[in-house]
Amino acid sequence: MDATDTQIKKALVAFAIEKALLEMGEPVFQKVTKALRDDYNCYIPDCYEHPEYLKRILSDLYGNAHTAITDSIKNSLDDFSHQEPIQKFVSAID
Amino acid sequence: MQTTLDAILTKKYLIGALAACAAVILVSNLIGKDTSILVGNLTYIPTAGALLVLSLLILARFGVAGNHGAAWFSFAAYAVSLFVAEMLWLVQELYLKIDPFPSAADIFYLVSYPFLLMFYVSYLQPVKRAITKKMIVASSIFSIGILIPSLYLALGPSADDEMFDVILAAIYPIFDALVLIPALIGVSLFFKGQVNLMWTLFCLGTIMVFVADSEFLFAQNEDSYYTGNPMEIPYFWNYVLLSFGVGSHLVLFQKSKTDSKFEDLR
Repeated sequence: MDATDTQIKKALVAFAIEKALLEMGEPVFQKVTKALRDDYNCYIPDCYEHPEYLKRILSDLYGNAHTAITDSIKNSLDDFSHQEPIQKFVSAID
Repeated sequence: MQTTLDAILTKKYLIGALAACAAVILVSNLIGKDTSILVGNLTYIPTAGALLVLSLLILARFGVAGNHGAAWFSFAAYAVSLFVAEMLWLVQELYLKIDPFPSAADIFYLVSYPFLLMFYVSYLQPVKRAITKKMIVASSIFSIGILIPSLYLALGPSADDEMFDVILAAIYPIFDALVLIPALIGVSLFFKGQVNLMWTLFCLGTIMVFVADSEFLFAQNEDSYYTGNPMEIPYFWNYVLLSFGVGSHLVLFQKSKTDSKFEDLR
């Protein structure tokens, strides 16, 4: 797999995450990006390699309801879920 | 891990505000009925006013975009309706010297309920997939379970009273029980989450209003109700709980310096 392919998948995942968070509200998106930055020194696209960061932040913020938000992210990635790295990301945030 | 109860108990300002409201009302009742009517009415200005200001601040933070934006817009409309209703009640009782129940204030009290329901629905909308049938059934059973005995006890001795007043007074606990269903769903849904503090405070606030409305219905039938009586304390507590709930959300989602810098660059 070349670097460009990874970058495209990273962008896809970042887009799906941003879409789900912005649908809730911009302050939610800002809160999650701030937590990623403060706690892990990373950004939304980095969640592609570290889905557990996003899962923990959403769980801290929304408790049991975080599964519905991760479901929304998974739905956005549905068309690409046959690709192994995306599948890996999807199962990691489950 | 800190539980929601621990979080509430550590909120000394919240407990202080609740105690202050109760103390003001109880002391005014010790002085006399006229004083308690005056103090009771005037206490609604800072309590309902604080909720109004905080709800406008959180609306400014969230805007009207997204599910949370729609939710906070509805909540601001709820706070405005309640504030107008309280001020109408105050003007009628203290200035015009007329019985404020039933009156135009009731229109605004009743209008506030759909806005509160819209707030709950909009907030829960993005996480609706996590809502289970079990949650809906349990919340509904709890709400109906507390509504039936309340209505039975309150409506029982009211056969001779004016039918319109009784029906109007009975609508309030029914609406309270209705909005309690999504509030309870929210508490169980966001359990262990940081937003759960707000949901717990909102849920407790709704329970307080339910208790106060049931007492109001009962006292109205006995013709023993007056503004500022100790049975009104849960009304003030509702405003305090809601204000602290909104405040906690405002702090949780406060704008960081970095976000402001990014906005300046746009």
